Amino acid sequence: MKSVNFRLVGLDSKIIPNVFVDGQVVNCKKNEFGSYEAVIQTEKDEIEVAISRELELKSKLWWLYALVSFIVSVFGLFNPSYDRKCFSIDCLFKLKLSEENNILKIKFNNPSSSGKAFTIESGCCHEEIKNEYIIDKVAKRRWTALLIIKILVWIGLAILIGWIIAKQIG
Amino acid sequence: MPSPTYQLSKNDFFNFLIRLGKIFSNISILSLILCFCGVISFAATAFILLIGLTIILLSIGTIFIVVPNYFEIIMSASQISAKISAFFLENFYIFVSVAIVGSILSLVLLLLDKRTKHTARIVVSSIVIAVAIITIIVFALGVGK
Repeated sequence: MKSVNFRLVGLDSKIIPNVFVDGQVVNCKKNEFGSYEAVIQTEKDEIEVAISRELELKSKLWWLYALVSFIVSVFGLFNPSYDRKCFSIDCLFKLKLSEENNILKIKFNNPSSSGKAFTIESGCCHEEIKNEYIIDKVAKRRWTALLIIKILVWIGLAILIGWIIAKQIG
Repeated sequence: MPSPTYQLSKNDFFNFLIRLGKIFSNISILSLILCFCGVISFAATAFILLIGLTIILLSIGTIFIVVPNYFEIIMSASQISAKISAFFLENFYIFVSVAIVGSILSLVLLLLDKRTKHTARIVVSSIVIAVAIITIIVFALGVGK
């Protein structure tokens, strides 16, 4: 049995990563320094690691979550903003496990639509397949839709409040 | 082992709960501020009256020649301030309840997150609960009477 110690460092505080090893989700925990850590055990000599970003606006029930949040937060007044840039991570690489205990440090660069997303620091042999930040178009479209709805609701509310005040005074 | 889709849906749901926790935390902070608005407005009323009287004393009453309705202006300004403070004091228990309930909900929801520690928010929510309880005790002991 071989073990791999994952460490994801340098990630933007807004980014929550999804780590998959051979298609299975790996639960990562954030440490006090802002890095994500996980340990996996495998019998294989080679594993395929994929990293993506958990975007709230990409979830299956995003519209329901957004609607409930919008209502609970008094029409978005107390709602923490969704990430406007909608950067997603597209990372895929293969890792050859040579030792019993393997340490894998993945150092992330600042999100940008050009350039590499990460660099691997490990004693293991690795083969990068995908390594980039991408702007998630679906999430971006949803973010814009939410903004438009929010503005329209606020305009509607302002008209309604104005009408109520005018009626009270008149 | 749960399927990746199930695991991701679970993560999405937890992210939603964290969002709700942050919303409740924001609401509780504002509610606590509104609790103090009654007391602060009383201070504002006293401040307006103090400034008004100081001006009368410093001008040796000549302010009434320059501004004949000076006293009415001062009194109307202090009355508006008193009305605002009365509104906040009447609804004190509503605001303080919202602050406490919001903080408790935010604490519970943020503590559910096992991946990320929301230390700052948790500390703030705990402080809000403590301050709100102290405010209730002080208010019940006679400040609001």
